[in-house]
Amino acid sequence: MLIEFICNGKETRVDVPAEMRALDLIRNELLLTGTKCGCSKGECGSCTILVDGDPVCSCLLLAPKLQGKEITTIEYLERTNGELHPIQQAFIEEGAVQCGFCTPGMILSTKALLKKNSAPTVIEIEEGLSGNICRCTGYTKIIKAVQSAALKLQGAEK
Amino acid sequence: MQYFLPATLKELLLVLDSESKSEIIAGGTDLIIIMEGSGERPEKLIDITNIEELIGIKEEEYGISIGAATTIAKIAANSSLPCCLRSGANSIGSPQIRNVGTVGGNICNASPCGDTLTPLICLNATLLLRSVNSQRLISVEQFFLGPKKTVLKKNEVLSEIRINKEYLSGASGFRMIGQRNGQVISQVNLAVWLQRSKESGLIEEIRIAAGSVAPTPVRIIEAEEMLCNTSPEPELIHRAALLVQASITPIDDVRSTAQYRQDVIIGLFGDIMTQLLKEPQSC
Ligand SMILES: Cc1cc2nc3c(=O)[nH]c(=O)nc-3n(C[C@H](O)[C@H](O)[C@H](O)COP(=O)(O)OP(=O)(O)OC[C@H]3O[C@@H](n4cnc5c(N)ncnc54)[C@H](O)[C@@H]3O)c2cc1C
Ligand code: FES
Ligand code: FES
Repeated sequence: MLIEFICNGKETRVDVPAEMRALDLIRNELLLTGTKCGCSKGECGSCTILVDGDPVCSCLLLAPKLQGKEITTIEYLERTNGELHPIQQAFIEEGAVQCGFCTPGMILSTKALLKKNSAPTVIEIEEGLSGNICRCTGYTKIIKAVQSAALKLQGAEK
Repeated sequence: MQYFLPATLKELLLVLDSESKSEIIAGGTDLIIIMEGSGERPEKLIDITNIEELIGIKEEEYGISIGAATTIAKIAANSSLPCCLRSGANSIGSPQIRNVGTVGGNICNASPCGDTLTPLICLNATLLLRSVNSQRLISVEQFFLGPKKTVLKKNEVLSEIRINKEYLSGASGFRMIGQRNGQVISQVNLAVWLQRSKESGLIEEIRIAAGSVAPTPVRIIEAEEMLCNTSPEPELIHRAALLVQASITPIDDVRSTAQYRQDVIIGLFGDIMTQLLKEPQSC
């Protein structure tokens, strides 16, 4: 099935079986392996991508659902000059990355959250990240990283 | 497997009528897990999320119409909808699940623990089921036959959910107990809607529904009758809670035990009632 969509700012056309999951399309066909596969059940959030700006689990999405959509994977956050995105910087500075398996999903959920709510409370951060599980860093540092990212982004706007 | 993305309701109904081995997919958050689990694929998947007529929340003369393919996230965020439905929607899964899952999928999946089902029962919602040459309106209470079983025919689609004006006013609430905040399937959920008389303050009408405590979500009419025409004090609320407890038939399963569900529903009921009588607007 021919599917056309915008992936990380680029017009993309692929011909894939209709039963292919968006996750497999992204990792195996587009070779964007920053998107991870943890559970394949919508529970861990490591496969999170943004579709038209909203976080979704790419393991529960069939590829045809990308038709006409604009998607963002973790690879698109790095600036063209090679600098990291402020959210990525905040995660590093706060030590919010250990094995890193959850990190792409955490960062994309953070991006969507901060776009809607530029100064979230701790509870709002917990809600915003409730679809992402981290099994090693623990959540304290991740929440701190989101708070710090919020400040960086607010600063950048001024 | 073929994948079909009709653009109009008419096109959808024609395909549904002609294809016996087709299956509707909305958000797919239930269906994909079933398909991946069983390894089976339908001959044709019909994606209904491109059909504008099935999406959105509209005010109508009779009240509010919700397109079946409206996402759970949109329901949770819509302030013109009653509290119980918004908080039921908000308790589903995670942001990732709510952005994709739809209210129609939650209904048609007919899980006893579906978190929009008890709110819709309390709000006396009706469902519009359409096929190529007919349509019928059915009360949401009559829609469920058992776990994963509904009255929906093979060539029918649930196109919209209607809530009448009288149920948009009044106070309503929803509570659920699950194991992990965020992504939990409820072990018990409970919704209550009530309308009090402006003059006397007495409860004029009340509807109570519980989920995950029987093969389908259930309305608890005995408790409704006990509370009607009263201005309940804590003691009466507790007696009604015991009635709620007595009328459910939960089972032990992977998520919880029957005993736990029996115990916890008393607290949930007391909690909702106290809030609805004290601060009906907080949502
Ligand atoms: C991690 C995770 C957590 C979850 N947590 C919860 C939770 O807390 N509470 C809860 O209630 N649910 C939960 N769910 C289940 C699911 O997300 C919801 O039931 C959701 O609303 C389903 O909607 P959908 O559009 O994705 O349905 P789909 O998977 O697309 O469809 C479900 C079924 O309904 C049929 N169908 C869909 N729409 C229509 C229609 N308009 N007409 C006729 N038939 C139709 C489909 O053919 C299919 O059989 C969870 C799921 C996951 C993966
Ligand atoms: S791999 Fe998709 S949520 Fe875990
Ligand atoms: S850093 Fe290892 S799972 Fe989160």
